[in-house]
Amino acid sequence: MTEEQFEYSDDDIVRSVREGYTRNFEILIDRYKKKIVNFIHKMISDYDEAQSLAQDTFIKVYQSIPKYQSMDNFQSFIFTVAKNITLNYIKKQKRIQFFSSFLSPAEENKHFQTKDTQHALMEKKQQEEIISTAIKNLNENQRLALILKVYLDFSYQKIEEITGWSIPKIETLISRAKTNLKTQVNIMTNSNPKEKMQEKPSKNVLKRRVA
Amino acid sequence: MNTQCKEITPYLNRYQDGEVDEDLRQKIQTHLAQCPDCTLELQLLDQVTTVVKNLSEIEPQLNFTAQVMSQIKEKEQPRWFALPSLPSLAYSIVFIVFCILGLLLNPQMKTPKIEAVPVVNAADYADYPTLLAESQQLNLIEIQDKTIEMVYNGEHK
Ligand SMILES: [Zn+2]
Repeated sequence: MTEEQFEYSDDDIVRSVREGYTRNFEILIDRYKKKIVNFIHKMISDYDEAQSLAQDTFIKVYQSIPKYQSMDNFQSFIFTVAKNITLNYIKKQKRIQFFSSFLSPAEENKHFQTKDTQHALMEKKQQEEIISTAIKNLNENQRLALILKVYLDFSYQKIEEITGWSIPKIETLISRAKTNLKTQVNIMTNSNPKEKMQEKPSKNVLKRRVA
Repeated sequence: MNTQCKEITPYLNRYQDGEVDEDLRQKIQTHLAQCPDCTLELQLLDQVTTVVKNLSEIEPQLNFTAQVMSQIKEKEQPRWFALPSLPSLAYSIVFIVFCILGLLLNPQMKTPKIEAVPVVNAADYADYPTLLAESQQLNLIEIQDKTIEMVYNGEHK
């Protein structure tokens, strides 16, 4: 390893921040901001909120630095904070949605129907929208497990550190998430219109959501 | 689906996630090489993960880092040591001066009224003429006399 390639470890930087070199925290922000913003964005599908919750994550992490035990697990630490902030936000949103559903219950149905009719002319962007919707419709534990595993490529052990779930539970959640997405992906990749008509996966998605 | 498939299928997800030990990994690979059903099943799983991995990413806002750092600095400021700004300091002084003035002036302003009320009680002065004579004898101050007279008239009109 040459000197140029040398990078300070997360824990080195945390230590320096703790010693008073607070500006070094910028290095940690720059190192993780993209992953944190995208992790949250994939959890909540809201660009502005993802940016703001990601900022909250870094502020919370900074405030928690005195409590952080240096054990080369800063990544788990920061994602744990991001996960907590995101799940809290989802919980709050659910409460708001629950009350607003009394006011405008038909809106979501319409949304799904337009998506169905668009199947015939799917471009990459529309494919993405469908898969994002499918991910959004997973329950949040499945979504969290799937994103940590598939998008962030974390090991089950790392996911265990972040979520506190047992490894069998993590495995089950990921497996169910993949199974739930399989139908959607199938429609996108094998473009057989008859199959599409028969399966109507978004209705299942709706039922699951209601239940 | 043969018996070996039943044995392998539950591990396909873990296998794809790279979470099986070396023995099991080899066992699964050997089976996949000769089983189109399980190979198809794995392909379906691969399609799912590929799609999820290839979802487009967003960029953090341009001033993301600067915004976080400024919020951190804002929260770190020990406010209890900081001097208040000049206008608010001026307002505070004016307010305090008014409070002190109020405390100083208040008793003097209210004293005559407060004392007049308990002394003058109509029921106690039914026999006004006698009382008037007595109070004149006692040289009571004029203001009290006038008040007694007013209350008396109000009761007996
Ligand atoms: Zn098989």
